[in-house]
Amino acid sequence: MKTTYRHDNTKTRKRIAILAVTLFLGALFLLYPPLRSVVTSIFYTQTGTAWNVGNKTEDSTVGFWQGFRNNQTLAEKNKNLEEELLRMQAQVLDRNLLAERVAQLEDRLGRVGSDDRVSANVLAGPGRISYDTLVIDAGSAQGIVLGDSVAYAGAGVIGKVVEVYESSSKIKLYSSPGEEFFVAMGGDSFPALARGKGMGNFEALVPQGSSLVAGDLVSLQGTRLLVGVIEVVLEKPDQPFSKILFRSPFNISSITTVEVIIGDNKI
Amino acid sequence: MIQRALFNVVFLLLVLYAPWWLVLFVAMFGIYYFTSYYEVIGFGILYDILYGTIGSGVFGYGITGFVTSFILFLSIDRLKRELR
Repeated sequence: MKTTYRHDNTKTRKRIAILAVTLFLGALFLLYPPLRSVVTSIFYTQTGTAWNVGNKTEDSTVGFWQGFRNNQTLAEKNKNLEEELLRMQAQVLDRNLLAERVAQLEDRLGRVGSDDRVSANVLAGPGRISYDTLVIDAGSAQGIVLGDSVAYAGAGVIGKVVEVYESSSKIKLYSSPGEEFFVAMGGDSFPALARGKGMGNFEALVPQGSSLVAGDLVSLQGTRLLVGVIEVVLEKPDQPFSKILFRSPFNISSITTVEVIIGDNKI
Repeated sequence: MIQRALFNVVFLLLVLYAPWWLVLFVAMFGIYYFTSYYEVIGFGILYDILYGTIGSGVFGYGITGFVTSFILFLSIDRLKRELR
């Protein structure tokens, strides 16, 4: 005798319904910017505190174990020194460019060039998260507005503010994949359109014979803000353009503090 | 039930403090271990809300976490059914 089983479709229907509702709600929350902004703002009031508590807990835990583990203490010191070295390297690289540009600006504007900066701690950033984004602990309460440029180590520019909340902000790094912006390369300020490649890497196309070489500095066009240093110039005889690969002079994933340049949102 | 709730708390802490690769690994474990672990899609949405920006990530919409968690859920859940 042949036995037939009736397939129970109730579970499958329920499952499809749950997935459809989740898909709809997810798309609504993430793809409708005003709603996304409101939801993010709500979460940031809670998670901002959580991140700060987490960072302090981490610091104090590390401090506690340092007393017992000499090797760990040395490793931590080494890490701090490496970070300081990266900062210093960025500052040294930028020094000559700065002096030259400051003099030019002062001439043009008839005043001493200076900008208003807000220092902020990085709560989350590349390396830990999969986006080329920084979350910082300063927001509209500190005077930050959309589009403000964000600098590291006093000079190197790394991105711009794309979302602002009361006490936190989100920064999109210039190295975000697909992000495009104009730069000036080398001593002759050769103009080019740069494109982010992720984790502090960039590429740009310039006409062959541009005289750019590895080690030349790249700054944001129309500013004195350093973006990166040219690593490689790729030239093929049959191509009209050379591909310039450059990168930030410091490790993007080791950034712990940044400076937001207030009122610099016209770049 | 308590086990699942505790796992959700740990997962939330990982989303806030842990590197992305660890979050991904734990998400895969959660989907495999628990029956119909829909929460993972919620955590994916949370990840995008916290860290993503419009104009970045998958197709420039900042929905990497959402898309990844959805695909992981469907594929691992399917794999589970095939193995049983």
